Amino acid sequence: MKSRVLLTIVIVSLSAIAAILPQKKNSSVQLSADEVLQGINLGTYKISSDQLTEVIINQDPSYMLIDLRSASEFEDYHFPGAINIPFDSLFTENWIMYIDQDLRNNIFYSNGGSLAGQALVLTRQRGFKNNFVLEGGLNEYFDKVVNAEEPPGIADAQEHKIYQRRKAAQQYFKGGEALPENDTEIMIKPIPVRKKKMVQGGCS
Amino acid sequence: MGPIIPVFGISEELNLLIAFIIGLGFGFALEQAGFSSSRKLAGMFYGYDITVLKVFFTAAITAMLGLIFLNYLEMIDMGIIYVNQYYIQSAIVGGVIMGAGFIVGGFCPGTSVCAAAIGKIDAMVFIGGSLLGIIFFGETYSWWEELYNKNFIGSPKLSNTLNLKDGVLALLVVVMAVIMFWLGEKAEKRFNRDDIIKEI
Amino acid sequence: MIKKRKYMNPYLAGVLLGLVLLASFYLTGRGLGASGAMKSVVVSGVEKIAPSHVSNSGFYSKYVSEEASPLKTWLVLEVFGVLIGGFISGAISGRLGLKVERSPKITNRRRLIFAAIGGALFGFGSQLGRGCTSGAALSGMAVLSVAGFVTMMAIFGTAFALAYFFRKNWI
Repeated sequence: MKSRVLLTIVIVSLSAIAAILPQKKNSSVQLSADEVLQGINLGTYKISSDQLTEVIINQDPSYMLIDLRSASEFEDYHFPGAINIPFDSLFTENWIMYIDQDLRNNIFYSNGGSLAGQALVLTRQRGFKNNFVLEGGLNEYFDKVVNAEEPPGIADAQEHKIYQRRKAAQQYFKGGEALPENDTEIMIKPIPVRKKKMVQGGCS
Repeated sequence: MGPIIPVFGISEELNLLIAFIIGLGFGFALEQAGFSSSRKLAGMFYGYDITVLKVFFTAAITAMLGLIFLNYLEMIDMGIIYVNQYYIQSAIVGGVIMGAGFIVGGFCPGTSVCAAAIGKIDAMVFIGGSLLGIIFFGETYSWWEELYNKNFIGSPKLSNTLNLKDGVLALLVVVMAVIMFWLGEKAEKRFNRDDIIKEI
Repeated sequence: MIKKRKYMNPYLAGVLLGLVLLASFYLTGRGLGASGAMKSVVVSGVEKIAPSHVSNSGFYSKYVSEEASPLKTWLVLEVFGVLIGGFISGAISGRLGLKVERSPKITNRRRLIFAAIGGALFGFGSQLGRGCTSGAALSGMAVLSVAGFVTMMAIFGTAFALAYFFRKNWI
Protein backbone atom coordinates (compact mmCIF):
# COMPACT_ATOMS: atom_id res chain seq x y z
CA MET A 1 0.00 0.00 0.00
CA LYS A 2 2.67 2.44 1.06
CA SER A 3 4.88 2.12 -2.00
CA ARG A 4 1.91 2.96 -4.19
CA VAL A 5 1.23 6.17 -2.35
CA LEU A 6 4.92 6.99 -2.60
CA LEU A 7 4.98 6.35 -6.35
CA THR A 8 1.89 8.50 -6.82
CA ILE A 9 3.43 11.34 -4.87
CA VAL A 10 6.71 11.11 -6.79
CA ILE A 11 5.05 11.08 -10.22
CA VAL A 12 2.52 13.80 -9.42
CA SER A 13 5.18 16.10 -8.00
CA LEU A 14 7.53 15.42 -10.93
CA SER A 15 4.78 16.32 -13.35
CA ALA A 16 3.94 19.41 -11.32
CA ILE A 17 7.57 20.47 -11.67
CA ALA A 18 7.40 19.72 -15.39
CA ALA A 19 4.30 21.90 -15.62
CA ILE A 20 5.99 24.79 -13.85
CA LEU A 21 9.28 24.67 -15.76
CA PRO A 22 9.42 26.98 -18.75
CA GLN A 23 9.27 25.14 -22.02
CA LYS A 24 12.39 25.08 -24.11
CA LYS A 25 12.62 24.33 -27.76
CA ASN A 26 15.55 22.16 -28.68
CA SER A 27 15.10 21.54 -32.32
CA SER A 28 17.54 21.64 -35.19
CA VAL A 29 15.62 19.91 -37.88
CA GLN A 30 15.17 20.65 -41.50
CA LEU A 31 11.54 20.45 -42.42
CA SER A 32 10.44 18.71 -45.58
CA ALA A 33 8.65 20.74 -48.24
CA ASP A 34 5.45 18.87 -47.37
CA GLU A 35 5.64 19.88 -43.76
CA VAL A 36 6.19 23.52 -44.67
CA LEU A 37 3.30 23.43 -47.12
CA GLN A 38 1.11 22.01 -44.39
CA GLY A 39 2.19 24.82 -42.12
CA ILE A 40 1.16 27.30 -44.80
CA ASN A 41 -2.16 25.55 -45.32
CA LEU A 42 -2.84 25.62 -41.61
CA GLY A 43 -2.00 29.33 -41.57
CA THR A 44 0.86 28.87 -39.10
CA TYR A 45 3.25 31.00 -41.13
CA LYS A 46 0.76 33.49 -42.50
CA ILE A 47 0.34 37.12 -41.51
CA SER A 48 -3.04 38.55 -42.45
CA SER A 49 -3.56 42.01 -43.91
CA ASP A 50 -4.95 43.29 -40.64
CA GLN A 51 -2.07 41.86 -38.62
CA LEU A 52 0.29 43.68 -40.96
CA THR A 53 -1.72 46.87 -40.48
CA GLU A 54 -1.03 46.66 -36.75
CA VAL A 55 2.67 46.18 -37.43
CA ILE A 56 2.74 49.23 -39.68
CA ILE A 57 0.72 51.49 -37.39
CA ASN A 58 2.74 50.55 -34.33
CA GLN A 59 5.97 50.60 -36.31
CA ASP A 60 6.67 47.38 -34.48
CA PRO A 61 10.46 46.96 -34.40
CA SER A 62 10.24 43.20 -33.98
CA TYR A 63 9.07 42.84 -37.57
CA MET A 64 10.97 43.34 -40.78
CA LEU A 65 9.12 43.64 -44.06
CA ILE A 66 10.92 42.06 -47.00
CA ASP A 67 9.84 42.97 -50.52
CA LEU A 68 10.70 40.15 -52.89
CA ARG A 69 9.83 41.92 -56.14
CA SER A 70 12.29 43.44 -58.55
CA ALA A 71 14.15 46.63 -57.70
CA SER A 72 12.09 48.69 -60.15
CA GLU A 73 8.81 47.52 -58.72
CA PHE A 74 10.17 48.30 -55.27
CA GLU A 75 11.08 51.82 -56.41
CA ASP A 76 7.57 52.29 -57.70
CA TYR A 77 5.92 51.38 -54.47
CA HIS A 78 6.70 49.49 -51.26
CA PHE A 79 5.44 49.20 -47.73
CA PRO A 80 6.84 51.74 -45.30
CA GLY A 81 10.00 50.41 -43.72
CA ALA A 82 10.33 47.48 -46.10
CA ILE A 83 13.65 46.41 -47.52
CA ASN A 84 14.06 45.02 -51.02
CA ILE A 85 15.57 41.57 -51.48
CA PRO A 86 14.67 40.42 -54.99
CA PHE A 87 13.60 36.78 -54.90
CA ASP A 88 16.56 35.49 -56.91
CA SER A 89 19.09 37.02 -54.54
CA LEU A 90 17.41 35.78 -51.38
CA PHE A 91 19.99 33.12 -50.63
CA THR A 92 23.05 35.08 -51.69
CA GLU A 93 25.73 36.00 -49.23
CA ASN A 94 24.57 39.58 -48.95
CA TRP A 95 21.13 38.75 -47.73
CA ILE A 96 21.22 35.37 -46.04
CA MET A 97 21.94 36.98 -42.70
CA TYR A 98 18.58 38.71 -42.92
CA ILE A 99 16.59 35.55 -43.38
CA ASP A 100 18.55 33.21 -41.11
CA GLN A 101 18.48 35.00 -37.78
CA ASP A 102 16.91 34.88 -34.35
CA LEU A 103 16.26 38.56 -33.73
CA ARG A 104 13.20 39.59 -35.67
CA ASN A 105 10.26 38.22 -37.56
CA ASN A 106 10.44 38.67 -41.30
CA ILE A 107 7.32 39.15 -43.36
CA PHE A 108 7.82 38.27 -47.02
CA TYR A 109 5.55 39.83 -49.59
CA SER A 110 5.18 40.02 -53.33
CA ASN A 111 2.36 41.16 -55.60
CA GLY A 112 0.29 38.01 -55.25
CA GLY A 113 0.95 35.27 -52.76
CA SER A 114 2.95 32.75 -54.73
CA LEU A 115 6.44 34.24 -54.92
CA ALA A 116 6.48 35.00 -51.21
CA GLY A 117 5.03 31.55 -50.54
CA GLN A 118 7.91 29.93 -52.40
CA ALA A 119 10.42 31.99 -50.46
CA LEU A 120 8.77 30.86 -47.25
CA VAL A 121 8.93 27.18 -48.20
CA LEU A 122 12.59 27.50 -49.16
CA THR A 123 13.59 29.27 -45.96
CA ARG A 124 11.54 27.13 -43.60
CA GLN A 125 12.82 24.01 -45.27
CA ARG A 126 16.35 25.06 -44.48
CA GLY A 127 15.37 25.43 -40.85
CA PHE A 128 15.44 29.23 -40.86
CA LYS A 129 12.97 30.35 -38.26
CA ASN A 130 11.11 33.62 -37.87
CA ASN A 131 10.02 33.95 -41.49
CA PHE A 132 6.39 34.58 -42.35
CA VAL A 133 4.40 35.48 -45.41
CA LEU A 134 1.81 38.17 -46.07
CA GLU A 135 -1.39 36.38 -46.97
CA GLY A 136 -2.55 37.39 -50.46
CA GLY A 137 0.37 39.76 -50.98
CA LEU A 138 0.21 43.43 -51.91
CA ASN A 139 -2.85 42.93 -54.09
CA GLU A 140 -5.01 41.64 -51.30
CA TYR A 141 -3.63 44.23 -48.92
CA PHE A 142 -4.73 47.05 -51.19
CA ASP A 143 -8.15 45.53 -51.74
CA LYS A 144 -8.74 44.96 -48.08
CA VAL A 145 -7.01 47.78 -46.27
CA VAL A 146 -5.98 50.67 -48.46
CA ASN A 147 -9.26 50.69 -50.37
CA ALA A 148 -11.29 49.56 -47.41
CA GLU A 149 -14.95 50.47 -47.51
CA GLU A 150 -16.84 51.54 -44.47
CA PRO A 151 -18.96 48.69 -43.16
CA PRO A 152 -22.74 49.32 -43.07
CA GLY A 153 -24.16 50.76 -39.87
CA ILE A 154 -25.71 47.47 -38.88
CA ALA A 155 -22.34 45.68 -38.85
CA ASP A 156 -21.07 44.73 -35.41
CA ALA A 157 -18.63 46.73 -33.38
CA GLN A 158 -15.74 44.43 -34.23
CA GLU A 159 -16.03 45.19 -37.93
CA HIS A 160 -16.11 48.89 -37.27
CA LYS A 161 -13.05 48.59 -35.12
CA ILE A 162 -11.18 46.76 -37.90
CA TYR A 163 -12.28 49.46 -40.31
CA GLN A 164 -10.92 52.15 -37.97
CA ARG A 165 -7.56 50.44 -37.86
CA ARG A 166 -7.51 50.11 -41.63
CA LYS A 167 -8.39 53.78 -41.94
CA ALA A 168 -5.54 54.63 -39.61
CA ALA A 169 -3.15 52.65 -41.75
CA GLN A 170 -4.22 54.45 -44.88
CA GLN A 171 -2.31 57.56 -43.88
CA TYR A 172 0.80 55.62 -44.73
CA PHE A 173 -0.42 54.94 -48.24
CA LYS A 174 -2.52 57.93 -49.23
CA GLY A 175 -1.87 61.65 -49.12
CA GLY A 176 1.74 62.29 -49.82
CA GLU A 177 4.98 61.00 -48.50
CA ALA A 178 4.10 59.73 -45.09
CA LEU A 179 6.54 56.87 -45.47
CA PRO A 180 8.97 56.81 -42.59
CA GLU A 181 12.17 55.34 -43.94
CA ASN A 182 13.90 52.57 -42.14
CA ASP A 183 17.05 54.25 -40.96
CA THR A 184 17.97 52.05 -38.06
CA GLU A 185 19.14 48.88 -39.68
CA ILE A 186 20.45 46.33 -37.30
CA MET A 187 23.43 44.30 -38.41
CA ILE A 188 22.62 40.67 -38.04
CA LYS A 189 25.14 37.91 -37.77
CA PRO A 190 24.52 34.80 -39.81
CA ILE A 191 23.77 31.57 -38.02
CA PRO A 192 25.28 28.33 -39.32
CA VAL A 193 22.98 26.37 -41.57
CA ARG A 194 21.54 23.26 -39.98
CA LYS A 195 21.48 19.96 -41.70
CA LYS A 196 19.82 17.39 -39.52
CA LYS A 197 16.99 15.09 -40.39
CA MET A 198 14.20 13.63 -38.41
CA VAL A 199 14.47 9.90 -37.75
CA GLN A 200 12.09 7.34 -39.15
CA GLY A 201 9.81 5.84 -36.61
CA GLY A 202 6.50 4.39 -35.66
CA CYS A 203 5.31 1.21 -37.21
CA SER A 204 4.73 2.61 -40.66
CA MET B 1 22.96 15.86 -26.75
CA GLY B 2 20.61 13.04 -27.62
CA PRO B 3 19.21 11.20 -29.42
CA ILE B 4 22.67 9.68 -29.52
CA ILE B 5 22.61 7.65 -32.71
CA PRO B 6 21.21 10.16 -35.23
CA VAL B 7 23.05 13.11 -33.68
CA PHE B 8 26.46 11.48 -33.68
CA GLY B 9 25.85 9.54 -36.87
CA ILE B 10 26.65 6.17 -35.32
CA SER B 11 26.80 3.19 -37.65
CA GLU B 12 23.72 1.30 -38.73
CA GLU B 13 25.07 -1.98 -37.32
CA LEU B 14 25.33 -0.55 -33.82
CA ASN B 15 21.86 0.91 -34.21
CA LEU B 16 20.52 -2.57 -34.95
CA LEU B 17 22.34 -3.98 -31.95
CA ILE B 18 20.77 -1.32 -29.77
CA ALA B 19 17.39 -2.18 -31.30
CA PHE B 20 17.91 -5.75 -30.15
CA ILE B 21 18.92 -4.70 -26.64
CA ILE B 22 15.96 -2.33 -26.33
CA GLY B 23 13.75 -5.18 -27.55
CA LEU B 24 15.16 -7.40 -24.80
CA GLY B 25 14.12 -4.82 -22.22
CA PHE B 26 10.74 -4.35 -23.87
CA GLY B 27 10.02 -8.08 -23.94
CA PHE B 28 11.25 -8.57 -20.40
CA ALA B 29 9.10 -5.73 -19.05
CA LEU B 30 6.01 -6.95 -20.93
CA GLU B 31 6.40 -10.51 -19.71
CA GLN B 32 7.10 -9.51 -16.11
CA ALA B 33 3.98 -7.33 -16.17
CA GLY B 34 1.94 -10.34 -17.20
CA PHE B 35 1.21 -9.24 -20.74
CA SER B 36 2.02 -12.75 -21.91
CA SER B 37 -1.38 -13.87 -20.70
CA SER B 38 -4.39 -13.11 -22.86
CA ARG B 39 -6.83 -13.54 -20.00
CA LYS B 40 -4.88 -11.05 -17.93
CA LEU B 41 -4.95 -8.59 -20.86
CA ALA B 42 -8.66 -9.15 -21.43
CA GLY B 43 -9.31 -8.62 -17.71
CA MET B 44 -8.97 -4.92 -18.44
CA PHE B 45 -12.25 -4.94 -20.37
CA TYR B 46 -14.23 -6.88 -17.76
CA GLY B 47 -12.75 -5.10 -14.76
CA TYR B 48 -11.29 -8.13 -12.95
CA ASP B 49 -7.67 -7.23 -13.74
CA ILE B 50 -6.66 -3.77 -14.87
CA THR B 51 -2.95 -4.47 -15.24
CA VAL B 52 -3.08 -3.19 -18.83
CA LEU B 53 -4.30 0.23 -17.72
CA LYS B 54 -1.73 0.44 -14.93
CA VAL B 55 1.26 -0.64 -16.98
CA PHE B 56 0.31 1.23 -20.13
CA PHE B 57 -0.28 4.57 -18.47
CA THR B 58 2.59 4.32 -16.00
CA ALA B 59 4.94 3.58 -18.90
CA ALA B 60 3.60 6.39 -21.07
CA ILE B 61 3.84 8.86 -18.18
CA THR B 62 7.37 7.79 -17.25
CA ALA B 63 8.62 8.25 -20.80
CA MET B 64 6.63 11.47 -21.25
CA LEU B 65 8.10 13.08 -18.12
CA GLY B 66 11.54 11.73 -18.95
CA LEU B 67 11.45 13.39 -22.36
CA ILE B 68 10.24 16.68 -20.89
CA PHE B 69 13.08 16.76 -18.38
CA LEU B 70 15.69 15.68 -20.94
CA ASN B 71 14.45 18.47 -23.16
CA TYR B 72 14.63 20.96 -20.31
CA LEU B 73 18.20 19.94 -19.51
CA GLU B 74 19.03 20.30 -23.22
CA MET B 75 20.06 16.68 -23.37
CA ILE B 76 17.81 15.75 -26.27
CA ASP B 77 16.94 17.37 -29.58
CA MET B 78 13.17 17.15 -29.70
CA GLY B 79 13.16 18.12 -33.38
CA ILE B 80 14.75 14.79 -34.27
CA ILE B 81 12.45 12.65 -32.13
CA TYR B 82 9.84 10.88 -34.19
CA VAL B 83 6.33 12.24 -33.65
CA ASN B 84 3.61 10.10 -35.16
CA GLN B 85 1.96 11.41 -38.28
CA TYR B 86 -1.72 12.07 -37.99
CA TYR B 87 -4.10 11.11 -40.75
CA ILE B 88 -7.47 11.74 -39.15
CA GLN B 89 -9.64 9.00 -40.68
CA SER B 90 -7.10 6.23 -40.91
CA ALA B 91 -5.99 6.70 -37.28
CA ILE B 92 -9.57 6.41 -36.04
CA VAL B 93 -10.75 3.60 -38.34
CA GLY B 94 -7.48 1.70 -37.85
CA GLY B 95 -7.80 2.12 -34.08
CA VAL B 96 -11.38 0.85 -34.08
CA ILE B 97 -10.40 -2.25 -36.07
CA MET B 98 -7.46 -2.85 -33.73
CA GLY B 99 -9.77 -2.52 -30.73
CA ALA B 100 -12.03 -5.20 -32.19
CA GLY B 101 -8.97 -7.37 -32.81
CA PHE B 102 -7.90 -6.87 -29.21
CA ILE B 103 -11.13 -8.11 -27.65
CA VAL B 104 -11.54 -10.96 -30.15
CA GLY B 105 -7.95 -12.16 -30.16
CA GLY B 106 -6.84 -11.15 -26.69
CA PHE B 107 -3.46 -9.77 -27.69
CA CYS B 108 -1.86 -6.89 -29.49
CA PRO B 109 1.17 -7.47 -31.74
CA GLY B 110 3.81 -6.69 -29.09
CA THR B 111 2.23 -8.81 -26.38
CA SER B 112 1.56 -11.69 -28.78
CA VAL B 113 5.28 -11.96 -29.58
CA CYS B 114 6.06 -11.91 -25.90
CA ALA B 115 3.43 -14.58 -25.13
CA ALA B 116 4.55 -16.74 -28.02
CA ALA B 117 8.06 -16.61 -26.54
CA ILE B 118 6.92 -18.45 -23.43
CA GLY B 119 4.96 -21.02 -25.39
CA LYS B 120 1.41 -19.72 -25.63
CA ILE B 121 -0.07 -21.43 -28.67
CA ASP B 122 -2.95 -18.96 -28.93
CA ALA B 123 -0.38 -16.16 -29.26
CA MET B 124 1.39 -17.99 -32.09
CA VAL B 125 -1.92 -18.36 -33.90
CA PHE B 126 -2.59 -14.67 -33.26
CA ILE B 127 0.73 -13.78 -34.92
CA GLY B 128 -0.18 -15.97 -37.89
CA GLY B 129 -3.50 -14.15 -38.14
CA SER B 130 -1.74 -10.79 -37.98
CA LEU B 131 0.51 -11.72 -40.88
CA LEU B 132 -2.56 -12.73 -42.89
CA GLY B 133 -4.25 -9.46 -41.96
CA ILE B 134 -1.23 -7.51 -43.18
CA ILE B 135 -1.13 -9.52 -46.42
CA PHE B 136 -4.82 -8.80 -46.89
CA PHE B 137 -4.18 -5.09 -46.41
CA GLY B 138 -1.25 -5.23 -48.83
CA GLU B 139 -3.21 -7.09 -51.50
CA THR B 140 -6.22 -4.81 -51.28
CA TYR B 141 -4.24 -1.64 -50.70
CA SER B 142 -5.85 0.15 -53.63
CA TRP B 143 -9.25 -0.16 -51.94
CA TRP B 144 -8.05 1.65 -48.84
CA GLU B 145 -5.52 3.97 -50.38
CA GLU B 146 -7.85 6.96 -50.33
CA LEU B 147 -8.88 6.43 -46.71
CA TYR B 148 -5.25 5.67 -45.78
CA ASN B 149 -4.00 9.00 -47.11
CA LYS B 150 -6.97 11.21 -46.36
CA ASN B 151 -6.67 14.36 -44.24
CA PHE B 152 -2.99 14.31 -43.43
CA ILE B 153 -2.32 17.08 -40.96
CA GLY B 154 1.36 16.54 -40.27
CA SER B 155 2.75 15.46 -36.92
CA PRO B 156 0.83 17.61 -34.48
CA LYS B 157 1.48 17.46 -30.75
CA LEU B 158 -1.55 17.54 -28.49
CA SER B 159 0.10 20.21 -26.37
CA ASN B 160 0.33 22.52 -29.39
CA THR B 161 -3.22 21.74 -30.49
CA LEU B 162 -4.58 22.58 -27.04
CA ASN B 163 -2.15 25.48 -26.72
CA LEU B 164 -0.65 24.14 -23.51
CA LYS B 165 2.91 23.72 -22.37
CA ASP B 166 4.12 20.11 -22.66
CA GLY B 167 4.52 19.97 -18.90
CA VAL B 168 0.99 21.17 -18.20
CA LEU B 169 -0.44 18.53 -20.52
CA ALA B 170 1.71 15.89 -18.82
CA LEU B 171 0.34 16.99 -15.46
CA LEU B 172 -3.21 16.67 -16.79
CA VAL B 173 -2.45 13.17 -18.10
CA VAL B 174 -0.96 12.20 -14.74
CA VAL B 175 -3.97 13.47 -12.81
CA MET B 176 -6.27 11.63 -15.20
CA ALA B 177 -4.23 8.46 -14.84
CA VAL B 178 -4.29 8.61 -11.04
CA ILE B 179 -8.07 8.96 -11.12
CA MET B 180 -8.33 6.04 -13.55
CA PHE B 181 -6.05 3.88 -11.38
CA TRP B 182 -8.20 4.63 -8.37
CA LEU B 183 -11.44 3.82 -10.22
CA GLY B 184 -9.81 0.76 -11.79
CA GLU B 185 -8.76 -0.67 -8.44
CA LYS B 186 -12.30 -0.21 -7.19
CA ALA B 187 -13.46 -2.10 -10.27
CA GLU B 188 -10.96 -4.88 -9.56
CA LYS B 189 -12.61 -5.38 -6.17
CA ARG B 190 -16.13 -5.13 -7.54
CA PHE B 191 -15.65 -7.47 -10.52
CA ASN B 192 -13.24 -9.69 -8.64
CA ARG B 193 -12.77 -13.12 -10.26
CA ASP B 194 -10.48 -15.13 -8.05
CA ASP B 195 -11.00 -18.21 -10.19
CA ILE B 196 -9.45 -16.47 -13.20
CA ILE B 197 -6.73 -14.64 -11.28
CA LYS B 198 -5.57 -17.96 -9.85
CA GLU B 199 -5.20 -19.51 -13.29
CA ILE B 200 -3.30 -16.74 -15.05
CA MET C 1 9.26 -27.04 -13.27
CA ILE C 2 10.16 -24.14 -11.06
CA LYS C 3 7.39 -22.89 -8.87
CA LYS C 4 5.32 -20.27 -10.67
CA ARG C 5 6.33 -16.84 -9.50
CA LYS C 6 4.01 -13.89 -9.22
CA TYR C 7 3.99 -11.15 -11.81
CA MET C 8 5.80 -7.94 -11.08
CA ASN C 9 3.83 -5.14 -9.46
CA PRO C 10 2.11 -3.50 -12.45
CA TYR C 11 3.15 0.03 -11.55
CA LEU C 12 6.75 -1.04 -11.17
CA ALA C 13 6.56 -2.92 -14.47
CA GLY C 14 5.08 0.24 -16.02
CA VAL C 15 7.99 2.34 -14.80
CA LEU C 16 10.41 -0.26 -16.16
CA LEU C 17 8.66 -0.28 -19.52
CA GLY C 18 8.61 3.52 -19.52
CA LEU C 19 12.37 3.61 -18.90
CA VAL C 20 12.94 1.21 -21.79
CA LEU C 21 10.82 3.46 -24.00
CA LEU C 22 12.69 6.54 -22.80
CA ALA C 23 16.03 4.84 -23.49
CA SER C 24 14.81 4.07 -26.98
CA PHE C 25 13.97 7.73 -27.59
CA TYR C 26 17.22 8.94 -26.05
CA LEU C 27 19.42 6.53 -27.96
CA THR C 28 17.71 6.25 -31.32
CA GLY C 29 15.12 9.02 -31.49
CA ARG C 30 12.25 6.62 -32.02
CA GLY C 31 9.85 4.74 -29.83
CA LEU C 32 8.96 1.07 -29.63
CA GLY C 33 6.99 -0.90 -32.16
CA ALA C 34 5.80 -4.33 -33.09
CA SER C 35 3.43 -4.40 -36.03
CA GLY C 36 6.04 -2.76 -38.26
CA ALA C 37 8.25 -5.80 -37.84
CA MET C 38 5.39 -8.10 -38.82
CA LYS C 39 4.92 -6.03 -41.93
CA SER C 40 8.62 -6.41 -42.75
CA VAL C 41 8.23 -10.18 -42.45
CA VAL C 42 5.26 -10.07 -44.81
CA VAL C 43 7.03 -7.81 -47.30
CA SER C 44 10.15 -9.97 -47.41
CA GLY C 45 8.05 -13.10 -47.73
CA VAL C 46 6.05 -11.70 -50.61
CA GLU C 47 9.25 -10.45 -52.19
CA LYS C 48 10.74 -13.96 -52.12
CA ILE C 49 7.68 -15.53 -53.71
CA ALA C 50 6.74 -12.86 -56.24
CA PRO C 51 9.30 -10.06 -56.66
CA SER C 52 7.45 -8.38 -59.52
CA HIS C 53 4.28 -8.28 -57.44
CA VAL C 54 6.12 -6.29 -54.79
CA SER C 55 7.39 -3.63 -57.16
CA ASN C 56 3.95 -3.28 -58.75
CA SER C 57 2.10 -2.89 -55.47
CA GLY C 58 1.61 0.60 -54.09
CA PHE C 59 1.92 -0.80 -50.59
CA TYR C 60 4.78 -3.32 -50.64
CA SER C 61 7.01 -1.24 -52.88
CA LYS C 62 7.26 1.44 -50.19
CA TYR C 63 9.13 -0.91 -47.90
CA VAL C 64 11.74 -2.52 -50.12
CA SER C 65 15.03 -0.99 -51.08
CA GLU C 66 17.91 -2.09 -53.27
CA GLU C 67 20.53 -2.23 -50.54
CA ALA C 68 19.02 -3.96 -47.57
CA SER C 69 16.58 -6.75 -46.94
CA PRO C 70 13.36 -5.59 -45.27
CA LEU C 71 14.27 -7.98 -42.48
CA LYS C 72 17.40 -6.07 -41.58
CA THR C 73 15.54 -3.16 -40.08
CA TRP C 74 15.37 -1.60 -36.67
CA LEU C 75 11.91 -2.91 -35.76
CA VAL C 76 12.62 -6.49 -36.81
CA LEU C 77 15.71 -6.59 -34.62
CA GLU C 78 13.76 -4.97 -31.79
CA VAL C 79 10.96 -7.52 -32.01
CA PHE C 80 13.54 -10.30 -32.11
CA GLY C 81 14.75 -8.81 -28.83
CA VAL C 82 11.19 -8.90 -27.48
CA LEU C 83 11.04 -12.61 -28.26
CA ILE C 84 14.28 -13.32 -26.40
CA GLY C 85 13.50 -10.88 -23.58
CA GLY C 86 10.08 -12.45 -23.06
CA PHE C 87 11.63 -15.90 -23.05
CA ILE C 88 14.25 -14.91 -20.45
CA SER C 89 11.60 -13.39 -18.23
CA GLY C 90 9.37 -16.43 -18.59
CA ALA C 91 12.29 -18.73 -17.75
CA ILE C 92 13.21 -16.73 -14.65
CA SER C 93 9.65 -16.74 -13.39
CA GLY C 94 8.95 -20.33 -14.38
CA ARG C 95 6.21 -19.59 -16.83
CA LEU C 96 7.54 -21.50 -19.83
CA GLY C 97 5.42 -24.22 -21.36
CA LEU C 98 3.23 -24.88 -24.37
CA LYS C 99 -0.37 -24.13 -23.64
CA VAL C 100 -3.55 -22.66 -25.05
CA GLU C 101 -4.90 -20.13 -22.63
CA ARG C 102 -8.67 -19.95 -22.65
CA SER C 103 -11.76 -19.67 -20.53
CA PRO C 104 -12.93 -23.07 -19.29
CA LYS C 105 -16.24 -22.37 -21.02
CA ILE C 106 -14.81 -22.64 -24.52
CA THR C 107 -12.83 -25.22 -26.43
CA ASN C 108 -9.23 -24.89 -27.58
CA ARG C 109 -10.45 -24.88 -31.14
CA ARG C 110 -12.75 -21.93 -30.55
CA ARG C 111 -10.01 -20.02 -28.74
CA LEU C 112 -7.57 -20.56 -31.61
CA ILE C 113 -10.09 -19.55 -34.27
CA PHE C 114 -10.85 -16.37 -32.37
CA ALA C 115 -7.12 -15.71 -31.88
CA ALA C 116 -6.59 -15.98 -35.63
CA ILE C 117 -9.52 -13.66 -36.41
CA GLY C 118 -8.37 -11.19 -33.77
CA GLY C 119 -4.84 -11.31 -35.14
CA ALA C 120 -6.06 -10.68 -38.66
CA LEU C 121 -8.11 -7.69 -37.49
CA PHE C 122 -5.20 -6.33 -35.51
CA GLY C 123 -2.79 -6.84 -38.40
CA PHE C 124 -5.10 -5.10 -40.81
CA GLY C 125 -5.92 -2.26 -38.40
CA SER C 126 -2.30 -1.65 -37.52
CA GLN C 127 -1.47 -1.07 -41.19
CA LEU C 128 -4.40 1.28 -41.71
CA GLY C 129 -3.72 3.10 -38.44
CA ARG C 130 0.05 3.29 -39.02
CA GLY C 131 1.05 1.43 -35.90
CA CYS C 132 -0.23 -0.72 -33.10
CA THR C 133 -0.61 -0.35 -29.35
CA SER C 134 3.15 0.01 -28.88
CA GLY C 135 4.15 2.00 -31.97
CA ALA C 136 1.19 4.33 -32.27
CA ALA C 137 -0.54 4.46 -28.90
CA LEU C 138 2.26 4.03 -26.32
CA SER C 139 5.16 5.70 -28.13
CA GLY C 140 2.80 8.28 -29.62
CA MET C 141 1.45 9.25 -26.21
CA ALA C 142 4.94 9.56 -24.77
CA VAL C 143 5.80 12.26 -27.32
CA LEU C 144 2.34 13.82 -26.77
CA SER C 145 1.35 13.30 -30.40
CA VAL C 146 -2.29 13.77 -31.29
CA ALA C 147 -2.18 10.58 -33.35
CA GLY C 148 -1.06 8.64 -30.27
CA PHE C 149 -3.93 9.83 -28.09
CA VAL C 150 -6.49 9.31 -30.85
CA THR C 151 -5.30 5.78 -31.64
CA MET C 152 -5.16 4.86 -27.95
CA MET C 153 -8.73 6.02 -27.37
CA ALA C 154 -9.97 4.27 -30.53
CA ILE C 155 -8.37 0.94 -29.55
CA PHE C 156 -9.44 0.87 -25.91
CA GLY C 157 -12.81 2.49 -26.56
CA THR C 158 -13.72 -0.11 -29.16
CA ALA C 159 -12.47 -2.99 -27.06
CA PHE C 160 -14.60 -1.79 -24.12
CA ALA C 161 -17.62 -1.27 -26.35
CA LEU C 162 -17.39 -4.78 -27.79
CA ALA C 163 -16.38 -6.53 -24.54
CA TYR C 164 -19.93 -7.54 -23.70
CA PHE C 165 -20.38 -9.51 -26.93
CA PHE C 166 -17.27 -11.61 -26.42
CA ARG C 167 -17.56 -12.15 -22.68
CA LYS C 168 -17.99 -15.90 -23.05
CA ASN C 169 -14.48 -16.16 -24.47
CA TRP C 170 -12.92 -14.66 -21.42
CA ILE C 171 -15.03 -14.87 -18.25
